[in-house]
Amino acid sequence: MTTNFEPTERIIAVSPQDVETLFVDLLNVYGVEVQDGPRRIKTLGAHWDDAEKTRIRAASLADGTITPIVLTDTRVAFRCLWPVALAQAFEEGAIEGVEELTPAQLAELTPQPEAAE
Amino acid sequence: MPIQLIIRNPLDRDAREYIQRAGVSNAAGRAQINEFVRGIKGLGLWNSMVCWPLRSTQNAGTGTTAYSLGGLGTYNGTLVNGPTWGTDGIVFDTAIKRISFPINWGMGRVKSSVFEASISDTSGSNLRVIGGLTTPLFLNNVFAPGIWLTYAYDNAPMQSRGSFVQLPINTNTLLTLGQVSSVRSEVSKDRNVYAGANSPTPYSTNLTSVDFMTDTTGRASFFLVTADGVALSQTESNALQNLYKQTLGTGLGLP
Repeated sequence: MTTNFEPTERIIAVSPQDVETLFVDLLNVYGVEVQDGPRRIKTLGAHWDDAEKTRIRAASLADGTITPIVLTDTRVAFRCLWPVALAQAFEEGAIEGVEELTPAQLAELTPQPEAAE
Repeated sequence: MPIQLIIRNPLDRDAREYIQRAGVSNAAGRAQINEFVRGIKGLGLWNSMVCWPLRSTQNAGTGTTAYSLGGLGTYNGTLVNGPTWGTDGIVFDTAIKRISFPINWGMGRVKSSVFEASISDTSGSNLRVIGGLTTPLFLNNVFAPGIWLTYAYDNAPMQSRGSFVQLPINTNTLLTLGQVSSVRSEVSKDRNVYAGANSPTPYSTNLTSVDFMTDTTGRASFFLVTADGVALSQTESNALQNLYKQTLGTGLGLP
């Protein structure tokens, strides 16, 4: 069940105000049904399920199995596997308001955790 | 002559319930769960604990639910942002991946925890056990307002930054954390890490979950908390660790 998804994680950054409408629209066009345990979920994102990377599982904002990473520039980022067609659209810059980040860019834009005293 | 049916080592009722709920299909995993549950009950801790066996053969082994096991109730955890199931436990490979456990006030006072984990990267090699939405809190903070934790490891300071626990690199480690008294004190022996009061901070009432994660790469096979006001004694901690090593932790090479 990995054929519809790229095998490598991509990171995208968007404005938090755009998340809901953007992802609803994208879900209608690019959404794919993916397994999560006994359930099947129509989703845009997935994660590897096993350490050997032989199968994927759904990543869903609705149930908190993927959460936004808040960036220092006020945007939020999502890191997961994406459907091939959507990843291609990201790469071509075809999705307005979405910027793809490298892991190094994500690290630069991620707030450092506070150390307790 | 009628056939006599003899069932050797039948499944404990609660072990069976967990096995069915989590969908544990691996025969060795089922046996290990059964022995662990029997042992916990033998220690008299069943009703005061909940744990999460995280090796793929001892839990669902697929999907985003980490099923809970224990007499305190059902507190299934959630795999968030993509940690993966492995035979030796849940694998983390970036700082954003975590398991979220619904540890909260409904469980009563959380006093001790036991976990097995390893960190496999040499930079930023922290294991973090974090509660609260924005403020790092460790378990004991939920019952003792104003207590930050200090940790010690083999009689040396291990990490003094509250919820951050630094583990030895590339070493499977079984640790107990808990409070042994209400006074500021640290006891460290046999890889048991106890907490003392330090640097009082405001109490947070918004604790709804505790997250378990690593800064870089790592793995965790087990997490347990005692609640309902029950703290592990040194003797109980040792017995629980030995039980884990002989049952769920088999093959991890734990010292």
